[in-house]
Amino acid sequence: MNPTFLPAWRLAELTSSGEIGCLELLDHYIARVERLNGRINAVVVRDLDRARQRARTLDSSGRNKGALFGVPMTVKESFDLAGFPTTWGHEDRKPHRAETDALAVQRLEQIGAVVFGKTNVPVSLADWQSYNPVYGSTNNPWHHAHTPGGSSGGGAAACAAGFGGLELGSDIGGSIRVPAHYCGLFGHKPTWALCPPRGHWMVNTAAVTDISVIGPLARSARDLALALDVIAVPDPMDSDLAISLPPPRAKRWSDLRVAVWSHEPGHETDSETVALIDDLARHLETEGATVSRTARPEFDATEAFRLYITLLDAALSGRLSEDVLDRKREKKAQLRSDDMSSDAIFVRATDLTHREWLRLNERRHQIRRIWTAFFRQWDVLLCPVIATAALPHMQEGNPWERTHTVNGRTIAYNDMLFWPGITCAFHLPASVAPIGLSQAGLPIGVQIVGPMHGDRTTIAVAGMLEQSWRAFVPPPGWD
Amino acid sequence: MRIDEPISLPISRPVSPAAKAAAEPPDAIAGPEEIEAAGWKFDLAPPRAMQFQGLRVAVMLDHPLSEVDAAITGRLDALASFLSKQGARVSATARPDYDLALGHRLYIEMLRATTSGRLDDAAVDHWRAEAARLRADDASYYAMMARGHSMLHRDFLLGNELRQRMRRAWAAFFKEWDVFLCPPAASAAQPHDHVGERWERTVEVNGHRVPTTDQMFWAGISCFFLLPATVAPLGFTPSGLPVGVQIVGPQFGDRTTIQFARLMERSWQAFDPPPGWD
Repeated sequence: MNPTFLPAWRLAELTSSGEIGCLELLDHYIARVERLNGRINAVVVRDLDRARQRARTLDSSGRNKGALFGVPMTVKESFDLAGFPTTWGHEDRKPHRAETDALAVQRLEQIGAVVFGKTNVPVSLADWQSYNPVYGSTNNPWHHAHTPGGSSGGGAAACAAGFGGLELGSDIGGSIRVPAHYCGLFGHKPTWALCPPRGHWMVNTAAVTDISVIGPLARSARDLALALDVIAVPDPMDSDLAISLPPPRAKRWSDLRVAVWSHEPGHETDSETVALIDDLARHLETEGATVSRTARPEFDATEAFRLYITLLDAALSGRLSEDVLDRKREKKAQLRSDDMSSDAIFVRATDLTHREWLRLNERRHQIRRIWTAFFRQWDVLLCPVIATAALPHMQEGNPWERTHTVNGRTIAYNDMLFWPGITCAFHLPASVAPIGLSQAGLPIGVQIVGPMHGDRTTIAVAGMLEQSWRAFVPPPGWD
Repeated sequence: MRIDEPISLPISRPVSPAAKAAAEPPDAIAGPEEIEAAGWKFDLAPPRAMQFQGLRVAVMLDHPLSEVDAAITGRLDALASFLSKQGARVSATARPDYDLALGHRLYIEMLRATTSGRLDDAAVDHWRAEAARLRADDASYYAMMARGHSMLHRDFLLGNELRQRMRRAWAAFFKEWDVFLCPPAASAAQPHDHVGERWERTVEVNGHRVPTTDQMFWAGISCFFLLPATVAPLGFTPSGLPVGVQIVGPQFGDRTTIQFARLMERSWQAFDPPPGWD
């Protein structure tokens, strides 16, 4: 049996039963990386000796047959892996060496995973494309002229290309969800503050970042649940409290209330994506789900989006250098007061007072309550992940200077933050499942949003879609 | 809980006549609100000890940033001796490993950033101008307040990072010690004083006047780091006013600090009604 594209849970069955050895499976994936990575440049750090040693130990001990026993995997470059640099794409970070593995890496290994490398990212994790001066540029395994997404783009490319069984990424503006969608994978952006991010950092920090989360990308929804179980545990350095996520709200379509939000006026979404989500809604009706195409949380979507942009800029403002701040201040001084583009809102947020942040945070919490009320009526919301399928490489200039064409209209690059932002600003969990291909043969996914701590519900719905609509399909030419 | 949310301000809680009853309020009022309640389980640890014997107690009577009246330090010192005799391990020098003065400065500045939401634009402009007029290293309450009221969110995040590191220092401290005893304030109840602004007022401590705001040091030493603190009656001043002790514990160690108060109630001092209120 060729294990290449099996889901992680199935790989763990094979290693646990002894049908395939842990080292044998690891070497299978290492051989693929060595043979094929040159096509896409996804795996950029390789920790092969330690991984092989670990796989041998698993083979010989015969114990600790955890849920990911012997599953080879990679993690995003932004996680610490002992002995290797954590650069976030910055050249001046190349001499750095992490002292210990990130907490989530340790936890995945505790249930048997074998982490053998790290995957490519954009500079500062701040793009939906993954290229940087340290490691170069990553291609989408579905189409090399396109990006695999970002910022967990190398990881999505690696997982889709069959370079391992599972990937660990992070998300503050779609960075798990967009690459999963661009590469035809399942992905999960957990509820904020559910999975401690210790070791996902450029420099050692004790405070967590607003909106930012870590989470898995996989070839099966079941793998998302396995990974979440082990990483959704409070960091003992910060809290003695326990988390106990509620079970999925439903296991059958007939018990599920699904709101479908396939497009929003003023926030251009590609017609192929909208049509696929509308097809999916019809399918769920035939499956017996209660479906509404008009149910919406009772807030203004544009207001929520603008709020997200400001909170995102505020969340990241502690990391900015004085150079960058000065440039933002210059731009701010030149802004027209009626300019409400997403980039103008970013710039306007420069030097935000804490007082103003408190006012915005209050509004955020009011909207969170509106989401809570919405999820009393509906179990999940299905909506686009982002405006289009995978972008063609566009590496000129800065993201805020770029444009993208959607339905023949030109939109600003950062206007595409709409679909990722209106959920994550409010700390909600969102899974992604592949639902089809564009006419150009690029994957399209759907965002499955749930209530706070409803992570098991959104992952369960991704799994139901995997069963009844579409499972992972390998990109052509990667056997 | 979300650790990069604004500082949790002192929360008013029901004060029951007996510390025994005080074991109940956290049971009734602790726990996440609906939005967070699906996932978080508030299962507080039991008290670390049911008796003084063997309890590890750190005591801090005073600090240069906030002089404490002898009526409190004397009784607190006597309590420390009593605890030693009861078999507790008592240290007068054990402290969490961070700069307490920096912790205090961050507390006042971030507290005043957290309360800045109540100010109007003109007030914030005023405080920004005041902050600019004063030296950046001016550690007076007024200067810290001016900086806090006009603080940029970015600076709040940088301060929060330092605070989170100090929280870890407290967590390490409470691996060695079970409770930390200190004054809740600089003096017993102060006479009514409604003149001028709060930051202009003084209070008498050991026979001289000190700024009333100095004693926020004792409020911040626990609450800025999100730690639980129980107060128990400690004794009386020569003029008959009550004084208490602040019993600080590790995060979510609420049952430990309350149990300590119950032990004090039993063997040190119980609630005593004020004269004339029978």
